[in-house]
Amino acid sequence: MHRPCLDAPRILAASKGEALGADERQHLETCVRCQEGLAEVRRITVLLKELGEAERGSLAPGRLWPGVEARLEAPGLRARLPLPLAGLSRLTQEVLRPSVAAAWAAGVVGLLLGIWLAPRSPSAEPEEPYTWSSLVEGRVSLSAVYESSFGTETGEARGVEWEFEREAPASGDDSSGTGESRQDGGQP
Amino acid sequence: MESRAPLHELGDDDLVAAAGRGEREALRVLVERWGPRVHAFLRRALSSSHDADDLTQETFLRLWRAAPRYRPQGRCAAWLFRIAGNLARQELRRRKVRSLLLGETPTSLDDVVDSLPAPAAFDPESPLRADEIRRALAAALAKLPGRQRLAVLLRFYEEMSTAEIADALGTSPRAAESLLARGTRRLRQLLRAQA
Repeated sequence: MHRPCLDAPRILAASKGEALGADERQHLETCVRCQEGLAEVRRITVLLKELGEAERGSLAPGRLWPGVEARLEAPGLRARLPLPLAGLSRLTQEVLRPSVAAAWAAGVVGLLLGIWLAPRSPSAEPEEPYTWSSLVEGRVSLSAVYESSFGTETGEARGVEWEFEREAPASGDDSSGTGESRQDGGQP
Repeated sequence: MESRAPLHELGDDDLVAAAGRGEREALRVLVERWGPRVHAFLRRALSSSHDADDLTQETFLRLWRAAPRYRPQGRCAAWLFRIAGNLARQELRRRKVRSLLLGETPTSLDDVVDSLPAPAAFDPESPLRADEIRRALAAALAKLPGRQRLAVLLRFYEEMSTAEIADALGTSPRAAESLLARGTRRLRQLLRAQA
């Protein structure tokens, strides 16, 4: 019966010298693909082991203890915190580094400034203030005056109304300033 | 009065118990015994010697603080690497947050290569004396997702069993096996692509 190739965990097990089942061993003896996979994992194993040994060996003996001892001698806030909070404080410290904190503060100030200035920006400011006569003469609607003073639930609706109410006088030849002549397209 | 064997002759469990009683000398012996392994693991997990220094110290500080609650079961190494693994995972998460919040770039290949031991640290017969092989291996490791990298390092650096890896990563043996299998497969692909 044809046996499927060994999966990754079985290749790993074989590379570690763990015993394979009889059918697995038999398959491995005949399957070039599995043999290559096993050889590759063995090569990687050797390389990683050597890298690990070299890294351990490259550390000067006794180098680590002074750092640990120094932190034991002068335990800061972090050393006294419960373990989960100590990790959190590390992140907090990171985020609250002076340069990072300054960047955050600048961002917040910029945002607040933007919000404060937004209603006063030229695009949102009426070109001329509403007057009693413009309201009486019907050049602006009561709702537009209300919305300019107290805001609107939907900016979109306000924009549409604004465009209609404000652009009409400019497009018509309304020298008299009456709503009639505007509605007639400026004809007497 | 009961005499005790010199500290450096004591087993890990006895040393942790002594550390739990406040004996700093016991902690020092543990640092000397396990520090280089923990440091090597963290250095490759984080591709940074500086972060490895900091987190190795942190690992032993946490061991010192938790030692009074340690129950000797002969699993000191797994416990130590669990602390180190948690710290490594936290640091990897922090790097993600930093890159999102502060726009910091992730670890570059130069950082990875800088964190490697010099060729002189290798056996004269080792292929890892060759720069390109060392670089390729370190770069491939650095490209593995965090937990897969930790699993691969625990297996190949520390020669831990799947159960020990599961213990160190705080996961089930099945999940550890899966991490290890995926990590090794990905490593093979990456190395093949660089060959």
